[in-house]
Amino acid sequence: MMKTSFINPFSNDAKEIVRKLGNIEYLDKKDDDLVNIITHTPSQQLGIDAQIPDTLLKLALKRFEWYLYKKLEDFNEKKYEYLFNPDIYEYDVVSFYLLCQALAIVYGSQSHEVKQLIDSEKELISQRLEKIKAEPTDVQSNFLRNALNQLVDTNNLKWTQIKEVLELGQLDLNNLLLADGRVIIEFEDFIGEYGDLINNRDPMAMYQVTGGVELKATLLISLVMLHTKEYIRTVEEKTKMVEPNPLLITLAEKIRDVEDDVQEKRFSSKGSNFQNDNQPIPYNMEAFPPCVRKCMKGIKSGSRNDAIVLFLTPFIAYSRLYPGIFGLDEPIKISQVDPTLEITHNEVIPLIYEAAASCSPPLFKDQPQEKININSKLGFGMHSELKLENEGQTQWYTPMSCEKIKLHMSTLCTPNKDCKKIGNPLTYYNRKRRLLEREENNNK
Amino acid sequence: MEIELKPASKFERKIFYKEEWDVKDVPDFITDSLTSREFGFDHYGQGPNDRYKTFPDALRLKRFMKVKQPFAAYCSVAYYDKPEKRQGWNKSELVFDVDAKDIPIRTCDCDEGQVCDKCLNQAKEIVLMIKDVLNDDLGLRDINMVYSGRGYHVRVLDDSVTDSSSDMRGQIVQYVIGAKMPEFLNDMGYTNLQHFIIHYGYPNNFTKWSKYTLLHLTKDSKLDNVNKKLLNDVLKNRHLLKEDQWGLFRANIGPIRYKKVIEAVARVNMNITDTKVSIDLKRILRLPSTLHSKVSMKSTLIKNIETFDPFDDAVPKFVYERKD
Repeated sequence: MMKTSFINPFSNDAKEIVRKLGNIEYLDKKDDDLVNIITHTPSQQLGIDAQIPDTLLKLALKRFEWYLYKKLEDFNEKKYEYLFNPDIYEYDVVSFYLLCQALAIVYGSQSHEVKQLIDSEKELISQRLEKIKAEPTDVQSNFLRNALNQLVDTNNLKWTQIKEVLELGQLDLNNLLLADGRVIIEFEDFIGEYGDLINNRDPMAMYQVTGGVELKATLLISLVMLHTKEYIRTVEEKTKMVEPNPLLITLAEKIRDVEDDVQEKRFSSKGSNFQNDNQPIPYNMEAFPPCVRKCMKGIKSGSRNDAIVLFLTPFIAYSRLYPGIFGLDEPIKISQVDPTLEITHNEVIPLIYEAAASCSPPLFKDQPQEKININSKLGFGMHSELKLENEGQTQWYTPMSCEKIKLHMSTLCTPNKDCKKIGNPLTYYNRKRRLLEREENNNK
Repeated sequence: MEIELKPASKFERKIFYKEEWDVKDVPDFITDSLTSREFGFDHYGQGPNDRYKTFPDALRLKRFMKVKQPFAAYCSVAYYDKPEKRQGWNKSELVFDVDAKDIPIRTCDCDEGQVCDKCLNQAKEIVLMIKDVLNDDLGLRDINMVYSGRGYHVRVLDDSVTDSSSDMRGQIVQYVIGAKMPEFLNDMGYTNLQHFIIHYGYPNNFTKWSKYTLLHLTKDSKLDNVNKKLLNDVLKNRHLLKEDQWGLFRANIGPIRYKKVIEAVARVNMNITDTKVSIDLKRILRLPSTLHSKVSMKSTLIKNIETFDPFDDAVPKFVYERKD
C-alpha cells in the first residue's frame, strides 16, 4: 500500500523523511537506490532519451518538468513513470521540499513559478490517487482518512476552518455536507447525522454519491495545495536575511530554462489556435455569447454601470485585441498588441460607448465619470482621455467569469446550448468563432 | 388605519429626527464598533454622496443626525483601521439583502418599484428561510435581522465568517439561497440522480428553495428557456410539490422539460437576494433606526421576526398624524 507521505508531503512521516534524507550535502550526489527504484518502475522508459535523474536535485527538476511538458502535444508519459511509483516516496518528499525552497527563495511566493508548482502538486497527487482507486472502497477511505488526519480532524471539522481551501476552487461550499457548521466527512458521522433521512436506499451508496471517497480525495488535494502555499510563504519570509544555498539557485535557474523551452515549443507549434489568438483579430459578432449580446442592447439602471464597465469593456477589448489571453500566464498591455492604439480608438471604444448609449438611462448622460472607469479597466489609469503615456497605471482587466457574472449581474446570464461547460464568455467567443469558421470553410 | 408608503416631506424628516429618533435605537452591534465604521449620507435624495464620515462616539452621531436630518443614513458593513479613508480593512458583516420590490417571484399586484403588505410578507418568509440555513447548515450565530424600509437585511456578525473574502461570500450566498444546481461528486454510475431524492445537505436546501420558487410562480412569471406551455404545465402540476411528490411532478412534466424548469428555477433563486450586496466587502447599508424617506418607514432592528409587522413596528409617528 502507498505511504501517506507519497500523497501528503506534510504528513508526520514526510517530515521524518526530510530530516533523514534532506542533508544539503547529498542533494547533488548520485544515489544508486534512487536509480534502482526508477529503473525497476513498471513501464518506465529507459535509455539516454529518458534522462533518468540520479540525484535528488535532478529528481526535483524532473518533477517540475513533468508538469510543464505534459502540456505539449508530443509529451511522453513513459519517461516519467517513476513519479507514480510509490517506492520513490522518500526521494519524492525531499525533491518536493527542494522545489518549494528554490522557488520561494529565488522567485518569491507570488511568482508564476510558485503558482505552477502548486498546480503541479495538485496534478501529481490526483494522478497518484487514481492508482488507489483499484482498491476496495473501504481501503481507499481508510487511506484517505489517515492522510487527511495529519492535516485536519475528519470527525470534527467546521467549514469555516477550511475557507481558504474552498477559495482555491477545487471544492465548492455546496459540495460539502454541512450540519450545524460541521463538515460531514466520515461514514460513521454521515450515518449519525443523516441516517434517519435515508429510506429505501443503500446508505453507503448515498454516502459515496454525496461525499465519500471523492470528497476526501478532493479535500486532501486542496489541503496539500494550501499547505504548499503557506510553506513557501514561510520559507520566503525566513530566508530574506540569509544567503541562499547555491544548489537551490541552480535548481531555480534550471527551472526557468525548462519553462523557456516549453514556451518556445508551444509558441512555435504551427497552426495552433493559441498562436493565432495572440494578436488582434477582427470581430465576429455572430460568435458573441448571449450575455454580451444582451449587454450591447443596453441595460436598465441597476446593474448598468457594472455591466458596461466591468463586464463588457474587458470582453470587447480582449475579443478584438487578444482573444487568447487565457493561454497566457502573465498580464499584458494593450500597446503590446495595438501599439498606436488605432484599433482601440476606432473599434473597441466605439463599441463600448454604443452599448453605454443604449442603456436606460444612457450611461454617460448621468454618469460621465464612467468613461474614466472604462479607461482604467483598459489599463490606462484614471484619466478622462485614453493616452499611451498613462498606460500601466492600472491593469487591463480580463473578462469576468460566468460564475462572477451570475453573482454581480445575474439578469445578464441567459445561457444557450453553447454555454454548456463554458466558464468565461471569452472562451465561448473563441470556441464559437472557430466553429463558425470551420462551418464556413466546409461550405466553401 | 391603512399606511400609505409615500415619501416623507422635508418637514416630516425634521419632525422625525427632532422628536422621534433616538441614538439609543441604533443597534449595539453598530455603536460598539462606531469608530471602525464608515458612515454615508444622502442629503438630497440623490444617493449617498456624502461618504467617508466617521464619528468618535454616539453623541457626535446624535448631534449630526439632529442637525442634518438626512434623507437617508448609511453605515459600512466593514470595520476599518481608518474608516475615514476606507483603509485598513479588518472584517465585514456577512449580509443578505432582500428587497421586497426586487423579489423575482412576487405574487402581489404591485407596480414595478413599489411594495405592499403581501410582498413585504414574502420578503419576511425569505429571510426566515435564509436564517434557518445560516443556523442549521452553516452553524452561524450572531445573526441580526433588520427591517430596511422596503425589505429586510440579514446581518451576520459571527466572527468565523466576517473575515471571508468576496469569493467566499459568493459561495455562501449560492449555498444559502439554493442558487446552484446540485452537483454530485461521484455519481457512482447512477445516470438519473435527482436532487429531490437526497434529504440532507445542499441538495435538500436546493429542493426547499426550488419548491418555494415553483409554488410562487404566476402565469405571468418569466423563466429563462421556459415557454408558456411549459409554465402552464408547471402551474397545473405544482400542487404535487405541496406533498413533496417531486418524482410524480417530474414525470408529469417530462424529464427533459423538468431539467429546463429546474435550471431556470436555480437562476430565479439567485435573484432572491441582491447578491451584489453580499459579496461587496465595503458596502454601506441603511443605518437601523433611521428613516427611509422614500416610503416613510423606519429601518428597525427586529427583536422577534416571527411577530414583527412593519406596519405596526416600523411606522414613524408623523405618518399617523398626516391629514391627507
